[in-house]
Amino acid sequence: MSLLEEFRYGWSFRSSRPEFERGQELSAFVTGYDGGDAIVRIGDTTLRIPDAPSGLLDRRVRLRVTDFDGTEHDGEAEYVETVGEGAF
Amino acid sequence: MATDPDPGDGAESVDSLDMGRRGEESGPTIEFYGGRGMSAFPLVFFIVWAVVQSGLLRIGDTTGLVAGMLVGLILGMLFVRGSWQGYANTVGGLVWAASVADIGASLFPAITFILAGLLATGIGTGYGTTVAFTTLFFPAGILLGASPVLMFGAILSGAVFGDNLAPVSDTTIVSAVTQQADIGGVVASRFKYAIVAAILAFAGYVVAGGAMPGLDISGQQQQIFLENSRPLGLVHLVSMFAVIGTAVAGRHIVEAISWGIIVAFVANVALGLASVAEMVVFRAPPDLAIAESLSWLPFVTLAESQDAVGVGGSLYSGAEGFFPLIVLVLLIVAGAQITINGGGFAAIQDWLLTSVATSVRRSELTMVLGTAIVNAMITINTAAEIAIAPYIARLGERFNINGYRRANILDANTAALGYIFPWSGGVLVGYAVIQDLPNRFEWFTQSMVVNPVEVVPFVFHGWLLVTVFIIAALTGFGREYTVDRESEEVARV
Repeated sequence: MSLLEEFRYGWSFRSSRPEFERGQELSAFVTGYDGGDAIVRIGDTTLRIPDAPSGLLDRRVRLRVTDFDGTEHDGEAEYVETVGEGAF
Repeated sequence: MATDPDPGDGAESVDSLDMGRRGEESGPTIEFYGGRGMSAFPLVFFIVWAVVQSGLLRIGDTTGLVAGMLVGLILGMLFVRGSWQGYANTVGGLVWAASVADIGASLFPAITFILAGLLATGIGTGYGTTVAFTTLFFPAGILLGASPVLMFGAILSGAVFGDNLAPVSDTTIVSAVTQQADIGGVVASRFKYAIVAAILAFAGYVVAGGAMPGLDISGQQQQIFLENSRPLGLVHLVSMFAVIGTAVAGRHIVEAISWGIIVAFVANVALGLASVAEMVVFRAPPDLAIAESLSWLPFVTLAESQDAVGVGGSLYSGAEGFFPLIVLVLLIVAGAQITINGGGFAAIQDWLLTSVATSVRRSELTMVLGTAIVNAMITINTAAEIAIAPYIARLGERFNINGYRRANILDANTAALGYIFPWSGGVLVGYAVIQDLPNRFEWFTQSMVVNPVEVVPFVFHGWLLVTVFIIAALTGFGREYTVDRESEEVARV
């Protein structure tokens, strides 16, 4: 990203419920577990990872969206790999 | 709205880390002019400094050794091959510029806000800017007929602007490092919030400047004051913009600061703004023969008495001034670590996540108000920022709010609330200078001293910056998620 682009980036109003497309790859923090499923909450949108290993809470993972409901703003994704940790 | 993740930035970050590891395996990661031996330059310089200071001149001053290592590191940078990931009379110049431009009393607070903001952005210290501006610009504005309370408010607003935006500001660095974001990206991404608040604050000072009358002081006093302001001080603005430019361009913050020191040093000596001895001086014992024979050097003087022996100058006092803050920060970090390990952090965090921050809007609002409240209560804003940083990180990460956005919420409210209330560090340093003005100027009477309580509503930029962030949290203005883009490699300091 050029210097000018960095200054121009983000001059907009971002939805509290971002939408994703099937097949899209994301890098995001795992924000909780529900039963055996890992939950990735992005804003007020929720992605569920049924096959995720345990111990991923507050770790940054790469995931692939497998299903997304634009009305309910939730979906499912598959775990690809762990790419980082939270700040604290 | 479909989100388009940018894997390019993330890939770049991983690549740069890999390159670092490869470098460790295959050879030196920094190449020096003059070969590998030159990499020892900073340490050798320090040893020579220590021998001259302690051995030859018999000055046992540990802070002097810190200044020596600092100079060694800065000079060592000049020998690095390839691309180098690479201030005090200015206010006098600004007063001269303002008088040449014939700025009237009603516009003076608005112009003061802009100039203080520029200086603070360049030198990275709101406290330093407040001291410099209350020393010279504050009495200048009063002489020209501007309202004292509005002048103080405008100076504090400029300090807020700079503390918030400057790449070399301690609050900027803490916000970036604790939220795992790079400093250049953090500065670029916070510009939008800062400029919106600054435009409104500028308009506020123009309107208030016209509505609030100043004091009537004789024209003769004005003439004497302005004749003592020199245009040469403006050359330091060049070094400020160099520091801002290099840091925003993604260079390492240590390199940017080093360049600022070098440019300021050269400009001071070349233009006669300050002597070498004002920046660094060894005051040797008067009865030492070798000191007498070295006293021709511009940085060696003979102390008048044994008590005056030591190292001095702005480089020395600059390093010394940071010691209490370093100790305070280390103790706060220790306290925070104990809270994290002892479970206190988790307890507060769980309560916030289950009862308060239950949606992304509420989470961001909690981050804004939490940072504002902690900073309104604690005098030193950097310390308050470090204490609240782990909560901001965790609250934000649980909603996948991007590190840039978290750093911006953290720093803006830290900077703003550190210069508003009567017990805030920024207000106190300015008040200390203003209180002393009746001793410095005959015409400056006790009635012109601004009470810190009076200035609270007039720190327009501080209040507006907090307001911009409350609105941004509610509306989503500038919001970014972690999936939108990844921070480039963090320049850890």
